[in-house]
Amino acid sequence: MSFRYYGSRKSGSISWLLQRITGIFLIFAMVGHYILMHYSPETGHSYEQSVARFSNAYWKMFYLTFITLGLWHGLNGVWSILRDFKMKPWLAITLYGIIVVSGIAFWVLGVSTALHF
Amino acid sequence: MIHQFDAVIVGAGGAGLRAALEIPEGYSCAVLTKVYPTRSHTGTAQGGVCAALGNEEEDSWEYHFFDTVKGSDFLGDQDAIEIMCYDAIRAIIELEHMGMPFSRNEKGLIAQRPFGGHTKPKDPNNPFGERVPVKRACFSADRTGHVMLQTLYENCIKKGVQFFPEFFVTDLIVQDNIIRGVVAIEIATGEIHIFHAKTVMFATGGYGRVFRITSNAVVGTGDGFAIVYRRGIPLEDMEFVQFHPTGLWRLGILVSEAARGEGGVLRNKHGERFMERYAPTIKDLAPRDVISRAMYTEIREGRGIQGPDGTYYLLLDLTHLGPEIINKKLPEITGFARIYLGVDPLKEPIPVVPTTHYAMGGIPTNVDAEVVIDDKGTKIEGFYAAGEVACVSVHGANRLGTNSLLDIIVFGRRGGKKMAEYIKERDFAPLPKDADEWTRKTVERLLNSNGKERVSRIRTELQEIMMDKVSVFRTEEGIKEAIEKIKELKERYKEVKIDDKGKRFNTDLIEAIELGNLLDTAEAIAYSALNRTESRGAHYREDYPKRDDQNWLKHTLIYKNEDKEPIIKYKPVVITKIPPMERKY
Amino acid sequence: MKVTFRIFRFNPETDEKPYYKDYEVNADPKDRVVDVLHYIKNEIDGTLTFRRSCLHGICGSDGMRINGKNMLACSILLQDLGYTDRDKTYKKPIVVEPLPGMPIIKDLVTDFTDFWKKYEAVKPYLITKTPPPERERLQSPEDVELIMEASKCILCACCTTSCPSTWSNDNYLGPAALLKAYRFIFDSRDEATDERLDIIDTPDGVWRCHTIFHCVQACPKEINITWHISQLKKKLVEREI
Repeated sequence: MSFRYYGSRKSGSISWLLQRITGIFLIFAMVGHYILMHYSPETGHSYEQSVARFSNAYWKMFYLTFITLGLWHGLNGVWSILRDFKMKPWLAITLYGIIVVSGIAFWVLGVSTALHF
Repeated sequence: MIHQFDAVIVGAGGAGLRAALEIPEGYSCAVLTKVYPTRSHTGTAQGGVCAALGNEEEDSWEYHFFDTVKGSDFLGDQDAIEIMCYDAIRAIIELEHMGMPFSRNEKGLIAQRPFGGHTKPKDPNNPFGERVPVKRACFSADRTGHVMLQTLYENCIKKGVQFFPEFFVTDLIVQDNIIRGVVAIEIATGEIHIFHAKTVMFATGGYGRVFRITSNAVVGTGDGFAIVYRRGIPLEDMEFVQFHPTGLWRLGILVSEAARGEGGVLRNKHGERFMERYAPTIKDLAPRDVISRAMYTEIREGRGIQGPDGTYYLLLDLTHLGPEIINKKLPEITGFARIYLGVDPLKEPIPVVPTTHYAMGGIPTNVDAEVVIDDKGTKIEGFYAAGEVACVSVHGANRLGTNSLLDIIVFGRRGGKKMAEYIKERDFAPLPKDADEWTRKTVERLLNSNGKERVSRIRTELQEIMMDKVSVFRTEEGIKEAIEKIKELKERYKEVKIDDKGKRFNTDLIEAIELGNLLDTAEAIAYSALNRTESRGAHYREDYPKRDDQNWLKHTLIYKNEDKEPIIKYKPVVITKIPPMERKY
Repeated sequence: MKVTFRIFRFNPETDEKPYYKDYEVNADPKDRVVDVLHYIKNEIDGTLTFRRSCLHGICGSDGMRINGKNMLACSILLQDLGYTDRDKTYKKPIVVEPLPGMPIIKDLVTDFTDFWKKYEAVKPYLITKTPPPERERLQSPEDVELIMEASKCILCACCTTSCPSTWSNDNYLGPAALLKAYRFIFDSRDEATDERLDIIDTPDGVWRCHTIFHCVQACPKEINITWHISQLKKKLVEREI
């Protein structure tokens, strides 16, 4: 009794595709993370060892990509789940705003940490 | 509640939807249907819709014309048949342009296949000589009716046709031979509505549920027939009821003739292809009346197969066709056999019996779908009928497979065009006082009755007697027995009591009204069958086994006569090109 | 065999709340569920209300939830539900409920208004701009094959009402409407592909499909609806890139 067609937004296809591409990247990143950090103790978890990794240009590139794609994938996923529920426009805008703001904030935090060393 | 519409169409099957597409912009049109439009019975048609497109082999509409006349056992009106067969080609192309997804051949043209009774002369120079089956049926797998109904409904959505779904029409408002509208019950609320209209079309479908075994939907209760019959409008050729040879045993669910068109054969208990004896040239592709009689004869003479419940059946053998044809061209019916009988048609033959399928007779109309109430062409002004409920008559004593889908799109359109002309020229005829009186009283009576009879009991007894006495083989004695029974049931119907006394979606009430319609329709069928003392097409009298052109080459018109016996009159058959000849296949 | 039918009953005219009513019946494993419903209505309780018409799975009237799954009552035999023994008395009832997620009119009858609105929203009709040729438009058998499966749809709503995305957001177009959109987008004769893709490219359109496959499970015509919706997503992505 309540169906309303809101008109086209031409919105979804790129983010749908990116969600899948970033998903694939994250699978590899996660597998790599487990192998390196949990199954090979020599990688090391100490402060010095971590700083050393952060100073490495390849690791830096990896971390920057990881932060960007991981954040995007996660927050876009959250937004997509929220979208499964019917929301009043003000609520949708508020939640979307929170997601965008927190996304930017975490990204800035992550990037500045990675670049700090 | 009173509504006002220029045109009111009752029934949203193929004929009703096709007519609705003809109502011009700027005029109001309402389509009333007792189910949702896409649930209409047109959707169950399987095998095809024919037109002499000649996409697969050389063909001509004149061959189609000849086949239809011969199939009708020369009772069809040849002027109407000519219009239908000639117009078929345009009608199919039009459907294709509307978006109907037809199966295609390698050339990208609409694919065609053979069907019962559709032939062409073996030698084109000898048109009345020996004939061979021809590929004339256009199809969409075995869902032709389904996609046709969908396509027509889609086009109505595009046009913005106004629908009143789940409105059950109970009465016609007609006075001084001028139509004024219809009365309907809104099923969801139980409210009675009056639709005041300039024109009304009945496209209400058939009455298969008069009989026990039928391929028809539960909603096929002959409402349109009964409503006009009660209002003093005659019904034409009601004795001609088509029995389809291949209904699933016990259930009556249709197994399309396409199964035989694609090469399936019928076998008896000895595995014999018995149709070779009854129709030596076209065998399993003989018309339906011929095959149904042959099947009953086989069973009577002990060559049927007895099932665990004691009833008999014969076998439809598709096992030699192979998975390619069965899965591509006959997917639906193989599904039915699997679901309902647990039979895999790839490996075993399907148990089948003849099933009540189609009403050749109905509301008499001319070639423009205008209702004509006597042999002089007197019209009910503004009243139209099309589809199975109408009798143009293009099917005469026996309809050929695929001609029903053709009938609805050709005459639905012609009727719609006439309605469009009529509403431009005429004004609303005033409504009589108490237009909904009959409906109100009937509803009140049924809701307040404290009798002892149950709707289902009476309905079952009616269906049993009609199946036993007024189906494929008929005798005077049997029909008289049925008539007595109908009289008894009508008396008992007055004492019928329903459980549901509410207003909201009261299907108990609707079924009770439908039962009244079934009883009236059965009466018209039985009396017409008793009256015609010959055998022609689907009407086979064992006591009069020969066709009698001398006395019976005429249409029956049956009029209701209060509680007395109906009055029967006649109308001549229109013969333009083909004189009656022996009907042999 | 003896079996109990536990049927969802609700008549808003008289009942404050819905309830389940048990009917014990003698049935045959080869009976359809709709046969038993008819038996109950005819012989036991005429107030039981449900829709039905053709009784062989082509009109789409009697979609309902039987033992927790959406299906057509006319296309399922009791033996298919596991009630196979003619001589047994079964303790486990057969539960019959209306299609989920739709407003209830009475008993098993639900309100299809939204379902049809969604159907109409995808412009369910062929749109052509070039004038039609004198004869049929040509289509190869392969062209037709692309839309054959989609054109099987009987609009029974078993899929749409089984979709969790529809349950949480009833503004989602749903599998049935999207399948109809596919039917025309992939019809080689249609000339409004862009317009059609725009219609389904909305947050409440094709992107609410998370390939849950409930629709495929529910479809009585065995249409692989999720595959069809995936083709729509691919088509949208292709258009964007």
